[in-house]
Amino acid sequence: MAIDYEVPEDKRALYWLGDQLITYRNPVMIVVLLVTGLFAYWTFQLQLVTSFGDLLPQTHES
Amino acid sequence: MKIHNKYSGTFGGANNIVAMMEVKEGTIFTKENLGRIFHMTEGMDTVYGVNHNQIESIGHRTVRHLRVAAGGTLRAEPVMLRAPQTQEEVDSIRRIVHNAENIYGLIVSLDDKAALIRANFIEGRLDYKRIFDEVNAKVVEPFQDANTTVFVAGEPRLYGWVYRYAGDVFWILVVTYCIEWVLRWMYFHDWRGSLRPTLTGVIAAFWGMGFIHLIGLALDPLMLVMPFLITARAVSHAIRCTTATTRNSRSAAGTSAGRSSRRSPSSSCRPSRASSPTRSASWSSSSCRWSCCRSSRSPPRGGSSRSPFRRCC
Repeated sequence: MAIDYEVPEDKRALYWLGDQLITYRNPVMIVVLLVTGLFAYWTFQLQLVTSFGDLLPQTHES
Repeated sequence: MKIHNKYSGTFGGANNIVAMMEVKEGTIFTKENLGRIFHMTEGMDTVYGVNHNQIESIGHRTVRHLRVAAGGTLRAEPVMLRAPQTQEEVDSIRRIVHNAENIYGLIVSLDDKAALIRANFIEGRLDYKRIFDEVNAKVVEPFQDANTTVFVAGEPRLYGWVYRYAGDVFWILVVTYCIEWVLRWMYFHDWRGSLRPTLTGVIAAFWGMGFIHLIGLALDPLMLVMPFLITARAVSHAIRCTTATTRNSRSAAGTSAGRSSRRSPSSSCRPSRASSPTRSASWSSSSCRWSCCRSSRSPPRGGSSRSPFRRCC
């Protein structure tokens, strides 16, 4: 969709993206909600673990 | 690192726990107190992941004193082979400790009121929560009384405290969010203005921590502050955006309408059932982006009906 109003040339892509997000807000919202749900599931799979070995560079020469 | 990895099995690594038993009255050289030290050492020896050859205590076999035997030979014998049963054994242990430079002032304090138990843990078998619980159950709690205090320090212990309070951190987060809601309500006087920053914060936290899991990493307790920091930034940005929208709404609505729209940007953009005519006026000229895009009946100034993003901004 072309931009039919005055925009600064260097921000044309940004305005175009804004227009697209508003125009397709429902599909965008659904996608964001789905991805958020997936990440929320992974968040609850996250383990609280401390690995001392991971804190230090095990292969470092010095 | 190579040197550490090569010799840590023999000389000990970085995962040490030091327990100190201190008496308030008297000295440690009594049957009860030496028995406590012996049983505390035994308890430490049974904690999960401990390196049994790197425990240091007058109640452990690794701490020895030299004794000249018949024929001029030297014998290195443990200070305590069992918990002392008689006063003679107690006196013997005190004499040994006071004459051993590797013990007196290092493992036993110079005033005879405290003794140390040092333990090293195997790096591959570190389970901080389990170590913390077992040290409490086997080394600390059974041996404390009015006259005896047990102190424990060390890196595994530090991580254990972090794990112990991880649940409390979650509840602190919940309470903080509730307080934030109240403060934002006092600031915006609108539930949408209060809720938006929370939603953006929660979404940012889900995406961030979900991505950590996705790339195969675990959450380090000492890094717990990072999700908080990122969420705080997301909330801060959301509040700033909402405040900016409020300001635009007021300036676009003019003085009289601006007074009526002071409650919130959203309330000025989409009038409620009980809205006044002045609020409706502010609604028609509002620059509130989302509400205008959804529900404006006539295009606000400076934009066409096809480009709500432009005209709202």
